[in-house]
Amino acid sequence: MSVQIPPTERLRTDTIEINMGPHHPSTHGVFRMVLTLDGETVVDLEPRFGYLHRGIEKTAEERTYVQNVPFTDRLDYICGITNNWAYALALEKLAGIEVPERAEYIRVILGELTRVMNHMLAIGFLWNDLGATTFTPVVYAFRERERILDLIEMAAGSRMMPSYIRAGGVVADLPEEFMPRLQKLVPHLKRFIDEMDTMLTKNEIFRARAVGVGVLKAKDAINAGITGPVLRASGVKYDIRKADSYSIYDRFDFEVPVHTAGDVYARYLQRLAEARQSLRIIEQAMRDIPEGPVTSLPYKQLSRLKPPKGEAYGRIESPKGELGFYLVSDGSNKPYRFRIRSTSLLNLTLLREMCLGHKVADVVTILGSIDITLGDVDR
Amino acid sequence: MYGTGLLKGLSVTLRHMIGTFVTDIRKFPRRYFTDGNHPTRSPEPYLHGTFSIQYPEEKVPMWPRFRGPLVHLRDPETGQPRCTACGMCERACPHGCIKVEGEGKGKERKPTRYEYNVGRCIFCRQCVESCPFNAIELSRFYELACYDKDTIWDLPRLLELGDKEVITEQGQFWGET
Repeated sequence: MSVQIPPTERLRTDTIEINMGPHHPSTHGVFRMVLTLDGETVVDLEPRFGYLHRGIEKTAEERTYVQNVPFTDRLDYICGITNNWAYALALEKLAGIEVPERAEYIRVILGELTRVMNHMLAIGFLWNDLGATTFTPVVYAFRERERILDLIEMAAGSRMMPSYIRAGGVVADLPEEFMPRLQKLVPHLKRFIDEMDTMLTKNEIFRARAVGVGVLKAKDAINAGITGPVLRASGVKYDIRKADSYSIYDRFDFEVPVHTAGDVYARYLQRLAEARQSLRIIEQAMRDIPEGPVTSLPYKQLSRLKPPKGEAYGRIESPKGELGFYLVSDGSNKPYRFRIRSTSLLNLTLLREMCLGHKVADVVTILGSIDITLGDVDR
Repeated sequence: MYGTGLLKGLSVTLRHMIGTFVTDIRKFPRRYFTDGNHPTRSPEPYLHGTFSIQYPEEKVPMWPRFRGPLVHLRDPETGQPRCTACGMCERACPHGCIKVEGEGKGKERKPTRYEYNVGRCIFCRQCVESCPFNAIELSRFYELACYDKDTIWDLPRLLELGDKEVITEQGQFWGET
């Protein structure tokens, strides 16, 4: 039996404006949202960023092409390898540099490992944001990430700031222990992804919190320039590895998984599926990797590189979406313009539309499912 | 049935918990000591369960290529630093954390002052790659916390650190670069 209250006698409520962040632990860094709330429902949301702005684009114009490689690590600090790769591609286009076969395979192997790592971490953090009283998923994800980072450190000398991929190839050949370890790691990662699947996918609490939350329509996503797993979870089959194939991706047999629901749950499933495909690519690359030189442009030549006048745009499918570098050369040894088309910033643009009408707790979930890195948003 | 997904998920964590104890017993006394007294980087084979490396007492060895702070190398015959203060590292550094001053001409040229600001260094290894005299390399030290701000290291200190580290040649772990 419910009592019907006439509209005129309903309790009058005011909306309240609150700041979420920049120190809120679930904003993945220094990110602020100005929320207007009616009770616990979001009626308006305004993202405010720029707290981590370091002026990398301008700083890079004062440094030579090779000196800018360490800066690219610090954009999206979860996946340094793919950032290096995008910059290297742009510079190779600009200066017309050839890349040896072996270097391409090394790039693919490390790039796909980075993708697995990023997706596992994204799922782990999503669970953390959901307020999983078990802190388990994120700890499991971190454990596997450490094993992948171990391999990257072995090859590059640094876990998160590898600076390993440079124009013309990679810095140095893989160490001897790398391949045996990778061969052990790949089946292990496969088991781990299955384990995550068993542990999380059918969880009723997760489904209640994730299904139908933060729906992003395909049309809106395309209009806003959203790329990566977020776009593909909305049903658009767009992957730069297939659409504008770079490096040697046309040689590998893999699929671009697509989910159509466009909600938080679909993005979670999308990441699991993509991680599986990445492991498929790694297996093929491990099998086919040839011997040979790993760079066509040693450091001493690269540091004196003066590309001809012109411009180039190099883009790759980074784990979070399209990552592009736009370089303009005026013929000197420093870039005239160094523009970064960052993934996280553009993926964040529809946060308001996704969050309207949901509860505050869902805002955290939606932000977690977009998977942003603040280093990439602010640059 | 409602709740089966939850229980299935919990079975994974339970398996890991039991696995910890089982592996501990199987690998008694310490599961991560594989060669002598040194913990390995990643526990192999990949087993279930958790463990902790007792950090200050037990340390994980760094990979040969690990990029730590800069050290200077000595000429094995004379024991003198190989650096000739040519200034290539100073120019290559993206952050300007190296300052070099030298005197003398040609082969007689020696550094009079070499300042390396470890507080600004990002360990990108470009100074080493630019060095034409095989004089510097990155070490494998990583415990760089200090009580006072002595982040500017001079040449004697860099040489001393280089002696502690077993690196003798530039890029000996980096293949032919």
